[in-house]
Amino acid sequence: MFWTEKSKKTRTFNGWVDSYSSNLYKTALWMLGESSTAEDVVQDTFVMAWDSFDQLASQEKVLSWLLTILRRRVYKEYAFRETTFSAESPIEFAGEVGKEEQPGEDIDLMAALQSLPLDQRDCFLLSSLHGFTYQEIAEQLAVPTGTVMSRISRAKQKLKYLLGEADQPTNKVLSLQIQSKQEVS
Amino acid sequence: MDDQQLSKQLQSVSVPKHLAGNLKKITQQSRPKTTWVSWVAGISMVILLGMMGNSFIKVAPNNPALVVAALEDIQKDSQLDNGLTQQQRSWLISHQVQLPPNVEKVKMSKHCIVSGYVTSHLRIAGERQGVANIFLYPGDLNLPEHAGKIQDLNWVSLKVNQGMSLLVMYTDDMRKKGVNTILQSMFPNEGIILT
Repeated sequence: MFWTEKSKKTRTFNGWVDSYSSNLYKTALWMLGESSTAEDVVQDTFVMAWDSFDQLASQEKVLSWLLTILRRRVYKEYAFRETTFSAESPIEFAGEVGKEEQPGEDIDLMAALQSLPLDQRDCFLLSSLHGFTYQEIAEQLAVPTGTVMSRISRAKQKLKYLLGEADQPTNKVLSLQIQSKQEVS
Repeated sequence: MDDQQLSKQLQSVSVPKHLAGNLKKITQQSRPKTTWVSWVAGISMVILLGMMGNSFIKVAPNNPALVVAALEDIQKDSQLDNGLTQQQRSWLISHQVQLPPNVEKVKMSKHCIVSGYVTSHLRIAGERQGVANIFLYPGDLNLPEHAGKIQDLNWVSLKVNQGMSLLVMYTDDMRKKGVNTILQSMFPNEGIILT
């Protein structure tokens, strides 16, 4: 009986790996900008998923559940980076996290994405990479749908601006943010 | 670039081929659920080990958790062959660490979390033979011991410039001489000599 349950658990888990590991890796990579860290984060996510296997309430929401674990791990990674490195040295991680990119420079999507605030990057990827609806993202992040729409809109606006495909964002707050960063740099 | 193209580009990144295989190994490391039988067996084992314990501990000292975690990281990244990345190069320079000598090839470099410490991890192949893994941490690693051996790797912990801690794990065939060459080149003002 025990072995049957265990092998069923293993089969289910391996099914998750086959179905979702690629998408989770891509999410981690676009979030963190570094492949080896992305791999670590995905591995930690699946270790936690295996340990918490019985806590999953609905098999239909596996991807959302895994993404929630992954998100926590990504935020933890950023917290580590900030506490360990940023205070003492201007270390820039692959993808140059935190660097404010300037339009017109030769920048790629990875670098542009790294310059977005984490919450905007997160919403943007849930929508554009995973194809979740605004409502689904709102449920996943426990924020109002309007907030999700606003984050995604700002993210797209800024990405297009950074990739040189649009004028400076018309949104007043965002314009001010970019303007002030330009002044600093 | 419209939304569809953007989505396509996000999807287009390549995923490491070994990723799914490695993830499936997680299930092999799982522990069975505890039952009353396992409790009884466990207690019996503790008593038995307690009787054998003292002499065993004397000949096989425990390795610090950090060293065990570092070993796991080394094993996990054994297939990673990314050389010395620009990111790691910048990190070393910003921490006043010289680059390893050219004859010793940096086979892998990355930041990794080892027991909660975000360290810079370099895997360096010896000029002729052997491998050394160097974990650099800009602070105190709080290692209780200063040298030891875990599986087939020797390890040594050192403090260098500005409070930076090093954990070096190297194979026997790398020898202390090879490790000395690397460390003396990376920290020329420290006079490091492993004896």
